[in-house]
Amino acid sequence: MSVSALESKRLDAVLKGDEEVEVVGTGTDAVAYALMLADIDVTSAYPIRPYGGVMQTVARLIADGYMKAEYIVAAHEHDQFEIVKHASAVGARTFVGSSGVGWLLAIEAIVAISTDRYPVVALIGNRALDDPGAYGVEHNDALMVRDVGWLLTWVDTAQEALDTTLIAYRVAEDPSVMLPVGISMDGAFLTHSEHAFKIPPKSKVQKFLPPYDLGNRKLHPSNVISVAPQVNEDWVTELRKQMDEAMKNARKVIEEAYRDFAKIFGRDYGNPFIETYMVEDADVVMVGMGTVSKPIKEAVRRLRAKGEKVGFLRIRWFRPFPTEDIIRYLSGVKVVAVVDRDYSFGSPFDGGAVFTEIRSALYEAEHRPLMMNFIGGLGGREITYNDAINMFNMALNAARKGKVEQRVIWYGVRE
Amino acid sequence: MSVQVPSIYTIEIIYRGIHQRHLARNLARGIAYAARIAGSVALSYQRYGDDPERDGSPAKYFVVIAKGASEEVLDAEAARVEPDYVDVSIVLDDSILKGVESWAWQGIQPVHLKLRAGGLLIVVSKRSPDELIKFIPTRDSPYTLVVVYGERSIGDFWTFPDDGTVERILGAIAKVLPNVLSLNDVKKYLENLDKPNERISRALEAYQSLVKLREVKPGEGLPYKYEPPHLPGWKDMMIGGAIPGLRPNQRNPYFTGGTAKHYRPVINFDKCIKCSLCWEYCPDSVFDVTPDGYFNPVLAYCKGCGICAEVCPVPDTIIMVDEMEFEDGYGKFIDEYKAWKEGREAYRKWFESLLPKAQIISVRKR
Amino acid sequence: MAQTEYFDAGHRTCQGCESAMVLRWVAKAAGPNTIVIGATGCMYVANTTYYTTAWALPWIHTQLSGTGSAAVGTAAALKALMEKGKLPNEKINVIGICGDLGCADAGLSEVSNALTHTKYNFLILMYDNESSANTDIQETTMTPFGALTTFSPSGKQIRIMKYRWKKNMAAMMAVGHPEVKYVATAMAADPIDLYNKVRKALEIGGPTFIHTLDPCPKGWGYDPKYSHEIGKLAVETGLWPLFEIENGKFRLTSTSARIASGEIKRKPVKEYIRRQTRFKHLTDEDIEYIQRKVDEMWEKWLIPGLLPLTKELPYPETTKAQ
Repeated sequence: MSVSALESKRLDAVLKGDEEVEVVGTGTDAVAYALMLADIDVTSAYPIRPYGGVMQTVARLIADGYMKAEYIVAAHEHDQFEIVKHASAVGARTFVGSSGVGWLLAIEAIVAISTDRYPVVALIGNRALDDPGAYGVEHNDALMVRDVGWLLTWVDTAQEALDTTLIAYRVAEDPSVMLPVGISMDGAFLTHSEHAFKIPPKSKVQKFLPPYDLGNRKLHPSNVISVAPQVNEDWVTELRKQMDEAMKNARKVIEEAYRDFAKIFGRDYGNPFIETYMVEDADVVMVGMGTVSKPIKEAVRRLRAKGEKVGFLRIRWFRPFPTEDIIRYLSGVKVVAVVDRDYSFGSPFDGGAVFTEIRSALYEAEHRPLMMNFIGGLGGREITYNDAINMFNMALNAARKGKVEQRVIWYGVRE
Repeated sequence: MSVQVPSIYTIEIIYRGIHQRHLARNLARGIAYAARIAGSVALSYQRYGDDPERDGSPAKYFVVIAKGASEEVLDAEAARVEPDYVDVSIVLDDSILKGVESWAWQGIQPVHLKLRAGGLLIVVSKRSPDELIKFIPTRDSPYTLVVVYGERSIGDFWTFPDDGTVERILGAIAKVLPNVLSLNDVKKYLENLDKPNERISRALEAYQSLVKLREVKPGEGLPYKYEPPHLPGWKDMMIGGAIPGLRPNQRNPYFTGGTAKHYRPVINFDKCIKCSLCWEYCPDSVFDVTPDGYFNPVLAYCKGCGICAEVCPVPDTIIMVDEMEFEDGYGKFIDEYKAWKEGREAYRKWFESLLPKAQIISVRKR
Repeated sequence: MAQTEYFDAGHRTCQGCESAMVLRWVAKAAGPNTIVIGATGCMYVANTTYYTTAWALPWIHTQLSGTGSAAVGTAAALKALMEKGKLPNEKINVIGICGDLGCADAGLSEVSNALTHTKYNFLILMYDNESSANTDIQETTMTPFGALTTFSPSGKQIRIMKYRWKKNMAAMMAVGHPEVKYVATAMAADPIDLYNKVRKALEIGGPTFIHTLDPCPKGWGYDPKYSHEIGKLAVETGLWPLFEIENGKFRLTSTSARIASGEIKRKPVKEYIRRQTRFKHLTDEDIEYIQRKVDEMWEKWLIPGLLPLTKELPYPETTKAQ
C-alpha cells in the first residue's frame, strides 16, 4: 500500500515548495509527517497499539522515498529504545515510541536515554496497563517516567501533534537541555481518529530546526570519549544535578521555541505550557490533559450559555511542570476540579497524579482554591460533554457551599 | 536523665579481595560475635565500593563495637560508606602496607589513612615491626604498630584455608585491646565453633608469644604525602556521564590497579630471548617494549598475577618475588630495564639475591 | 603485530583476568577507527571507573541486554549519517561487547535480532567467563555442568545445583542466522587465533559474532597465574573447540584442528576440572559423565562443536522400509 495519489501530490508540495498544505489523517500520521520534515536519521519500530500507526506511516513514507532514514524493526521495546539511544550517541536524529506495557518493557533503556542526555523524541500512544490486557487510553504509561528526566507533553489535536514534534526536537537538542521528549497522545481518540491538519513546508522547518549537534559528546573515532562508565557515590549527585538544571533550562527553551514557531509558521499557541479556556473570571476551573479537553470545552460553552462561570485549563507540558502558570490562573478560583485519566494508588489524597501535582503547586498560591479530583476515562472509557457537565455541576455545588464533600470521585464507576 | 556517651571502638580490616574474602568476613563476624557474647553491642559492614571484589585488590571491612551499651548507640554508625576514623586497623597481608587504591581519583591511600592518633595498626606478617615501618608512610600523629606473626593466608572464592589466622588475630586483639575483647571473651566465642580446643590454643599462642609492638613517632616511616583528590563540581563535568578517553598507549592516569599485587615480576634481561610472550599474555598491558626489543614491566600498573612468569619459556628469567622485598611503592617503582642498562653486573647480583626468594612457578618448568 | 594499545592499563579487573586480555587483543585487532559498546558486566564495571577510563577508543555503555540493539543503532546511525553526508564516508568498526549473562541470557533476543540486520556492519563479542562474575559469581546458562556458583552451591541435600548443560552459543548464532558471514569461537590463551578472527570478522562485513571462553581466577577458583594454562587446557581437553564459520564454511582452528586431524590427542577433562575449586565437589563419576559428553561431541556429533545431532539416521531402518 502506498501513499494515496492525493497525499503524494501534497507531500511533494511541502518537500519542494514554500507553502503549507492540508491533509486529512490520524494523529499518528501527523507525527510521521513531522518526522519527514525533521529529516530524522534513524528510527526503530515494534508493534503495539495505539502508537504503532506512526511507524506504519513512517514505513510508507520511507518506502515511497519521501523520507530517508534507517528504519529498524526491533525484537521488542527494550531493543527498540536501545537502538535509538546508541544511534543518537553517534549523532543521528532519532525517533521512537510505544504504548502501555511496551513503554514499560523499555523502561531501563528509557531511563538510560535521559541519564546519558540523548535528545531522543518518543511518541507515547497512551494506553492502559496490563493486566488484563487492555488497549484503551490511560496516562499511567507515560507518567511512569515523570521523575527521570524526560520532558513530557500531552497534545490534543493532530495539528498540535505535528507542531509539537518539530518543537520537541528543537527543545530536546538545545545544548542547554539535551534531554529526551515524550509526546503523549490519547490512544484511539487521537491516534486513530482522522482530522484535517496542515503540513508546513520543509524549507520553513529547516529555518526552525537547526541540525542536531552533540558537540564534544559525539561518539566517533575523531572524538575519543567514554560514555557512562560505572560510577560510585562520589559522582552521582553531580550528574543528577546537571539534569535538574537542564530540566529547569527547558522552561525558557520551550518558550523560545514556541515564539519562533509562531514567527516562522504563523501558528501561535499562546502560552506554551498550558491552554486556558474561559478561565479569567471563572469560579470553577476544570483541569485535564489530552483529548478530554474537547468534551470539557463543549461543557464550558453550554454552562457559560446558562451563565455559569466555568473554565478549563489544559496542561500541555507536564515536565517541566508549569507551576507558575498554575498558580497564576488557579489562585483565587473557588473550586479547581482535576480530571485524571490516571491513578496514583495510595497517593497523598488517593487521587490521580495530575491532581496531586496541582495541589502541590497551589500550596504556594496566595488564595488556595478548594480542590476536587475526578478519576475518569480509564482504559479508554469515553468522557462525554454530559459527563463534563455533571462534573462541573458537582464542582459548582461545592463552590456554592464553600466546601468539598467528596474530594476524589471515581467518575462513572459502577457500584 | 543524663546522657552518657559510651566509647565506640571502630575496627577496620584491610584485606586482599577474593584471596582473603572469607578470612576478612570470618574475622569481622568473629569480632562482632565475640563482642556480643561478651555483652557489648557490635555490627560489621563491608566497604560497598570495594564490591564486587577483584582478585588482589585491597578491600575493607569495618566492625563497630560499643561496650555495655544499647543497640541504638550504634545507629549513627549503621549506614555508612566508611567511618570517619578507626581506632584499630587490621591488615591481613603485609604487602597492603604499600597502599590501598580503591577507586579512580582517590589515588593510592596510605594504609593508616583512617587511623586515629594513637591508634593501633595490626599487621599479619613474618617481618619485625622495624622492618615493616620502612613500607608505611609517615604520619603527623603517633600510632602503635602491632605485628601478629603469621604467614599470608590466601584462599579463593570457593575455599577458605582455615589456617588459624582468625584465631591468632583474635588472640592478638585480646592482648593489645583487652578493654574491647578480653582473652576470656575470645575463648567464649571460640567455644561456640567447631574444633574449639584447636582454635583456642591458636588464639592463646598468639596472645602469649606472637605479638610484637612498636610505638611509631610522627614523621617515622616512608616519606609519602597523600593528597586527597579534588573532585570537580557539576558545572565542570561533561554531561551525560561522558568523560575524555585515553590516547593510544596511554595508561589510565587516574587509576593504576597496582596496589593489587603481593608478588611482582622481576626480569633477568640477560637471559631474555625477546620472544614477547610476557607482553603478549599480560592482561594489564604492563610491558613497555624497549628500543632494543626487551619487555620492561611498568610496575605501577602491574597487579602481580604472575602469568608472565608462567608463560616465559626460559626458566628463571621472569620470577615472581614478594612485594615486601622491595622498598618502593606508592606510585613510584623500580624501573628494572633502566637499572639493568645502568649496571648489568649490579643488576645480575641483585637478581641472583632475589632468586631464592622467588615464588615457585609451575612445577612443569622447574 | 600491532604494538599499540587501545585498551590500556589502569582498570579494576582481577589479577590474571582473561577477559581483560580478550578486550586488549580485540582492541588491537580493531585499531583506532572503531567504536566500542560495552554492556553491563564485569568488563563494564571493572574497566570504566567513572571519571576515568581504560579505553583509547570511543566507548559507550549499554544496558545488560542491550548489546545487539546498541550495535545495530550505532551501525545504522553511521550508515545514515554517511549516506546523508552528515559524516565523512569511511569504514568505522562497531564492536558490541557483552558477557555471558548479558548476551546468552538477558540479551539473546537482541543479539539474535541484530544478526538478522545484514545491511549493517558490526561484531558482537561475547566474553564468557561462565558466570555472572561481576555480581559475585552467579549461575548463568553458560555456567558449565556441576560448577559452583553463589546461586548453585553444593549442599547437604543437593550436591549439584547446576544440572543444566552449557548452551552452544556460537553454534546457535551460526546455525540460526544463516546470512551471517562470520561466526567463531576463540580464547585469550590463543591470542593470535583471536586476533585473526577479530580481523576477519571486521573485514568480512555485515553482522558477525565471536564467542570467547575466558578463564576467571575469581569465579573458577585457581591462582591467577594459571589463567593462560587453564585456557589452554579447555582447548586441549576438547571442552572448548576453536572454530570459525566463514561464509558458511566450518573450520576447526589452531589446537582444535590438530585434535580433529589426530595430530594431537585430547587430554582428559579431569586435568582441566581438577585445577579449579569450583568443581571441587565433583566426584570421579561426575567427571566421567562430563568426559562422556565431550567424547560424544567429538566422536558422534554431525560436526564437533557445532551440530549436536548424532550421525545415526533419524529413523530406524525398519521404519524406512515400511
